[in-house]
Amino acid sequence: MSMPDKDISTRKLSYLMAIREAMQEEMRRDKNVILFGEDVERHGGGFGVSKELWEEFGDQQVRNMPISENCMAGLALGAAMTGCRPILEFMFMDFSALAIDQICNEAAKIHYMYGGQTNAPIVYRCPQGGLSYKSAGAHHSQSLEAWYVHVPGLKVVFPGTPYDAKGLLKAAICDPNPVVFIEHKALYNNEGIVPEDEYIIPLGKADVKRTGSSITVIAYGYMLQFALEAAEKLMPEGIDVEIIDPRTLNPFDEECFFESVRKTHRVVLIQEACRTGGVTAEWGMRIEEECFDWLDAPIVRVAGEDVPIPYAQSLEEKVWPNISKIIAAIKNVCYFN
Amino acid sequence: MATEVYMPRLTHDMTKGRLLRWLKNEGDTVNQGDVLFEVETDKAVSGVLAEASGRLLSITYHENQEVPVGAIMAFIVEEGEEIPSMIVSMPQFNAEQISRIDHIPTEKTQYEEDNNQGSSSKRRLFVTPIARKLIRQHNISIDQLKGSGPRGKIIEADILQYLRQQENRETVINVAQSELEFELVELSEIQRITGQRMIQSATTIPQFMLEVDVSTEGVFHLREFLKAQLGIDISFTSFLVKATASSLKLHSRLNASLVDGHIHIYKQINIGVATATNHGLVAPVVHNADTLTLAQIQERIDYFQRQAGSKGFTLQDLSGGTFTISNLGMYGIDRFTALINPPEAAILAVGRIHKQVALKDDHPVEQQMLTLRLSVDHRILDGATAAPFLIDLKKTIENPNSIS
Repeated sequence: MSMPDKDISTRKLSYLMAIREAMQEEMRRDKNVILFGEDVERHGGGFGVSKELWEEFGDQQVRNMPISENCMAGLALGAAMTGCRPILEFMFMDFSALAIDQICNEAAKIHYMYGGQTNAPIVYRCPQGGLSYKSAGAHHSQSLEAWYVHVPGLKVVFPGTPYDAKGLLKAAICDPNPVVFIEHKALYNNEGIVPEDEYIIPLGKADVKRTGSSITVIAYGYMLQFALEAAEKLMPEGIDVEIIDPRTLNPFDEECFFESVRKTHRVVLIQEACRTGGVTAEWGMRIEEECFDWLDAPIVRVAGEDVPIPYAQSLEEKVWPNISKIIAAIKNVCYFN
Repeated sequence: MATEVYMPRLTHDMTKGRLLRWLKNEGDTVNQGDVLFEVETDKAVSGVLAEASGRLLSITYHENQEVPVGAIMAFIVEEGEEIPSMIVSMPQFNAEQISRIDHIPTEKTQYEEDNNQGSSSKRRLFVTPIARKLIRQHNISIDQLKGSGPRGKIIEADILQYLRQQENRETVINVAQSELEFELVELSEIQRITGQRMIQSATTIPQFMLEVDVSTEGVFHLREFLKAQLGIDISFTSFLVKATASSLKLHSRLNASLVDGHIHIYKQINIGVATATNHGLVAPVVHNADTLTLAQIQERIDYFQRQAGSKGFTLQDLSGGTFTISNLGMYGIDRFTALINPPEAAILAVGRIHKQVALKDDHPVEQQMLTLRLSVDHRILDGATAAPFLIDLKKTIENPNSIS
């Protein structure tokens, strides 16, 4: 499939609409692509992502589910093993915890356990994260990508732009194995250029969102927005930031990281999720293993605090990374004080 | 083996000294006995001599730093030798080394205690991985680098800056050596010797300057008088030699040399007069100037002028000076600083005679003036001891009839 030139197209679409359009195109192409989830029919799911799909595709391809994540995930796995390509929407990624046995112990291992005789082409759509969703509290604001990144057999995808969201979701639906597709709730209304022509973004490929020479910043999800803004603020001070969005968190595009670090010699990694055991720890370690001799400064992370997300907005704001924390980290790594 | 350059104990109670300046640079070839650096203690400024010959490397202290006694400040390394280690450690206090400069420590000092405590810990040099890689790649000596990162860490930017500097230096050298056109001029023997002596003067003698403005009206009238009455034409230089000799007699400490830590005050007053020749600058000497009459001095000065323009001076003419006068008045110079002619204690720089408005009895009058600037060896004299000489000389010039 050819990649349309996104610089030529001027059509703007929100992150939410880009996801909907990806599902729509795949459901039209293949009647085996089906959507499960709580309130996905008339209500369009928890955030309205699947609105109008039930009207177009009907009960055969769009089905409401009872509030039982474990049951939903088991059903999706059975459907996948018998020829469907289910898309399963969790209302909040936080509640995918109830389905984790089906996802991690069953779906992720099916292809391996059956010696390749069967497989589970499932997409788990998981809205997660905090930030614009003020006061959503400890159970509706988490960033849980690291849980799933740790499971061999699962792919984990997290787009940061509408363009990437559409292209990656189409690739995830086409993938023969389970994919955890993370959507950031605070990005749903963000607009960006999404060409009308069909395109797919292969999984496992990072994207250099901004080229620069002073430092490599690796950021994904909502953090990409912060990184881009920080980069613009640092430019007048002479710090030219290169920003990489891995887009797929597992398998991640380590060669892209290495190539950039061998150019800039400095790295800051940003994650919204709490620091300990985060995906950036893994990336930083891989960079250290492969690029040690190119480093001019310690590898530094900017991450969420290791606490449950507070309900009080005043506390909530302190938990997540922000632009000033990111700028401080970048300056520190560039010995710019 | 590489020879350590360390901070000597210059006085029995010295624990540290301020490094005033290096007279040799990183990488310079030094000879045993060369002055390496100057140290200021609470008592004096001293030059510290090289104990060996070789290349001066690994300078770890910079100018104006306080350096503990016994601390290794650099190494003198012979051809093909390595600097002992990248990790610079504080040395063990070594009484034997200190005694070599004739100052035997008599009491246990704070430094010794500090040093004993710290002897097991080494100061680590931090270098980032990419900086290490570049150092290897470009074969850079780590001692030439200054770390600008936290804790003095050497970072990539330091290496890049160093490489840029090297590149600039090479460019400058290339321009100087290959692109600029030049005419080759060999130094005369006199110029070569003068050069060496001036290096010695500028780098080993701590010199300070004193300056006075002097009225020459009196001298002018005296010269007119002598010419009219006796038919003798006395030049101003001759008069100055006479006046200086007369003042030196009263302030003999300026008629002296520092020899092996002792001051030799000379009984003869032999005044050198800096004289330009075709071959360079010399200072023929008016021997025993204090005992000569003005007419005898004038004869000698006339002789100098004849010799300067023709066959030059004998060794006898040029030796035995105890004080030098350098007069650039005839070249139109208002005032200047002269470098001491080693091993003398001072030199007098004389500017041109010019008319100035001065106050006399609270009324402005036109006066002939000149400026005398005296450069003095601070190891032999200080401002308070040198000033009376210059003031006396001023008075003598302003009241010339007082000269005997």
